[in-house]
Amino acid sequence: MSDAARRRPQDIGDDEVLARVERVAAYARKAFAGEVGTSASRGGLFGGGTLLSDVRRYAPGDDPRFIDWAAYGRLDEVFVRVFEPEEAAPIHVALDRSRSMEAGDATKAAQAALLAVGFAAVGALVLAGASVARLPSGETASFAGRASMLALLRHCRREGEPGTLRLKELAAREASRTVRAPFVIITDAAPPGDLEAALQVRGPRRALVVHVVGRQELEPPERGLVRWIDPETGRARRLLVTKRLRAAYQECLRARFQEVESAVRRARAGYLRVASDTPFDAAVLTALQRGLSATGVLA
Amino acid sequence: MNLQFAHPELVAAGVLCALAALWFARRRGRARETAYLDLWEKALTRTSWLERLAQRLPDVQTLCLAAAALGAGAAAASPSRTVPGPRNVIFALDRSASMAACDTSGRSRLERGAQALAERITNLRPGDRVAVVALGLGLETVVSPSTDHAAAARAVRAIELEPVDTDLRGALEPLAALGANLVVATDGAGRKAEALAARSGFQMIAIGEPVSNAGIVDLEIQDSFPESTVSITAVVAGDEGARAGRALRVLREDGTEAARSEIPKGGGEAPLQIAIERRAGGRLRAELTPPDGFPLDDCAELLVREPAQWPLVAVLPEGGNPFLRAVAVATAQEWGLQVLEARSAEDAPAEAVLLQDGGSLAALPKRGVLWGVRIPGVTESAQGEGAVVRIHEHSITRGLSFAELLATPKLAFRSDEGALVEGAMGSLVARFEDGERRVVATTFRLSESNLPVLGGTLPVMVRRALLWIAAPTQPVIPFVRTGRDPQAPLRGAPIDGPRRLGPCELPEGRSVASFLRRIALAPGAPPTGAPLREGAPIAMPLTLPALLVALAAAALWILLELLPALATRRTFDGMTFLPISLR
Repeated sequence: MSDAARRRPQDIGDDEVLARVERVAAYARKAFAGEVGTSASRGGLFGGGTLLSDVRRYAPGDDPRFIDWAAYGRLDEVFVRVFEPEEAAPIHVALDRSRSMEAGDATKAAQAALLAVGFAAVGALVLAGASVARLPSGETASFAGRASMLALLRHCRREGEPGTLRLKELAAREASRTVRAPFVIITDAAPPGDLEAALQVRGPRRALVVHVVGRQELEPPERGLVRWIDPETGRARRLLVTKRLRAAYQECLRARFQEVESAVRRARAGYLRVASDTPFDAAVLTALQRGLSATGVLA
Repeated sequence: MNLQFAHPELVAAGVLCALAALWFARRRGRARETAYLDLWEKALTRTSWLERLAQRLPDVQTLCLAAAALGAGAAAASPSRTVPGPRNVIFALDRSASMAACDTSGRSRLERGAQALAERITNLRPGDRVAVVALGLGLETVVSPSTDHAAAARAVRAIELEPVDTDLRGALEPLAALGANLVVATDGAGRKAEALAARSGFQMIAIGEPVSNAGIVDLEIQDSFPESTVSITAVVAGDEGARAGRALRVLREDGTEAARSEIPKGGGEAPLQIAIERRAGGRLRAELTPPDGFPLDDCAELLVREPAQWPLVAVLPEGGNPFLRAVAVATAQEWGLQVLEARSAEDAPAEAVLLQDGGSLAALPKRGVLWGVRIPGVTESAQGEGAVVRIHEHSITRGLSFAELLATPKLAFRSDEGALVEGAMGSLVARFEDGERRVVATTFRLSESNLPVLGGTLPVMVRRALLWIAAPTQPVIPFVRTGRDPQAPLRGAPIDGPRRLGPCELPEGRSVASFLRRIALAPGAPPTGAPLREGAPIAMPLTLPALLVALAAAALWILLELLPALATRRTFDGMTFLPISLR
């Protein structure tokens, strides 16, 4: 990817964001129309409708929950049930704007905002609409149609505000509203326990966890004396960062990613890890192509 | 430690700078927010101990910075520390006779006291001034005030006994008046001495244990030379327990026992009369047996005059009176002398005693009994001028008379002619004494005497004359010596006259010092009195140490500042430092 494409998310202007969103929406329309062969076209993204439309052979990447076990018993062959896509269902996006997302130069927060814009735009422009809930304030806004794009943009790119709502509580609240709307959680999974709890209470609907990771967290450039501050708690720890300590940290970080991914998979949700400098539209397109249940890394 | 600052405001400024340095150090380091602070901490636990130790470098730097600020502020404030000055300590060791006692420890009190003082000297602070004093009959300064503690300790151990009694209180009072610290090791601490210690503030170390003692307190010799028997009067004192079962024996120089006398039962003083044979004379030792814990007063020495070894020479010129030779032989046999015969006085040895018939005072021998001497200026005609001539008509001489020249107080002669005095020994005619020269002269000649008749009186006259010649020129003083080691061989004793060894001055009426001592303190009692007083305080400047601390801390801070750069092989101005691995 070119350096131009890896610009900091906060440096991307609103016009450019809207332009990229349009391209994503166009791709989504084609996908839902079956013009392109993606998981989304097979209902990988939203296929969780209630009307059975077909039964087809199992393909890798299909949700195991839709395996027709009765047919398997009769025919000794694996089939999956295909439901009519409920295109009228909106997309629910949970945007984590907690203090940990502001860590470093706030690229995580900006990246998360653009990703929220991307996913919500698919719902607003292609499907029945989208709602974006901000954490920890809990402020939620719904968007539909092209006219709401600017409001969506402002809602998502706004600075973070104080609040006490946790991801688990938001997931429970959204689950009580509708069980069909796909749930996209954009967070840095810090702390990881919150994410796992939220996935447990989301209900039967599909969920995609977009794990946003800061580039400086992946590859900390600091050497020497650094005073690390936890933005959530304000706790600080001064460390003399050496080459070996940095390597040990990266090893621990990889273990943490594995831990988060495993927790997400146990909750039967999709997992997409996105670096803060990854183009957000590429991340959204990847999710559309692979489906909500897929796993991917764009870091 | 008593710190003082000439400019305390600068110290306050240094403290403020140190606090500022601490605050600055806490804020040091690039502040970075991270959502994975727990991962950094977890990573730290997975690194080596050296890596974890390196994490303390910033803290050490912080301390260095604070120390540099504090040190600089303190150095600028001209700090000084008040420390106790050197102490002046006088160590006094009792070296009186009783300190020879070994008690039950096997070591004498003197050694134990010296050891106790030496240990205290060794434990003094460097710079303390030490003086060592020996307490005997008087005060003797063994070591003048000095800071050489090792030499003082050696000097204390080298102090020797003095066979005298000690007036402890009288000795300590002038020492206490000096105002210095005083440490006294003695076995004579009594209530008065303790009270003095408490009042004057010095320490008293009690040495010794209460033990019974009996000793020879007086010794007198009645030596009627050249009689063959010497009488000794010894006084032994002590309590009943110490005297029981003991005896006084007198040993000759060769170790043979000359006499032995059991000490009568009872307490107090017991006079013992002992008669010994003179034999060869010389030094005798009187000692109590068996010895007790105070060996010093268990023995004493005395000198018995030796029989004369001079020969007795009968000067018999041609045709002389042979009776004179018979007298000489008889006398020599009685006294064990050698008898010789010579024709003239010139042939006789110089040290001989002459028995001579005829002669002149102008050529007197050194010793001799002369008959028929012509004394210049003294003749029978001298009667009325201070001399009288008495004609003896002795009953046993049966009509034979002889003239005896007697001097009167009016008689005077020139000194070079000798002196005639009244004969103090009866029939002696004249005694002539000039220094070592002793001559007895008669004015009658043996050849003119009725020898057969005179044979009964002549030996008596010769004997008396010889007694006078051999008599001491001074009153006989018993020779007494006491020593620490009664078994030590006798050395250096005088031959030519009695005298007393050692610097002891005996109490009046005593020929041997009394060493009896009453021990007042319990054994092993801790030192009484006050602890050592500190010397006058001294202010020690601390500017340089504070400055050095500040500089060292600053240098260490700079070094630690460079260390991470060195460890990560950074380049400074084109120079690549050697890589220093933290592992």
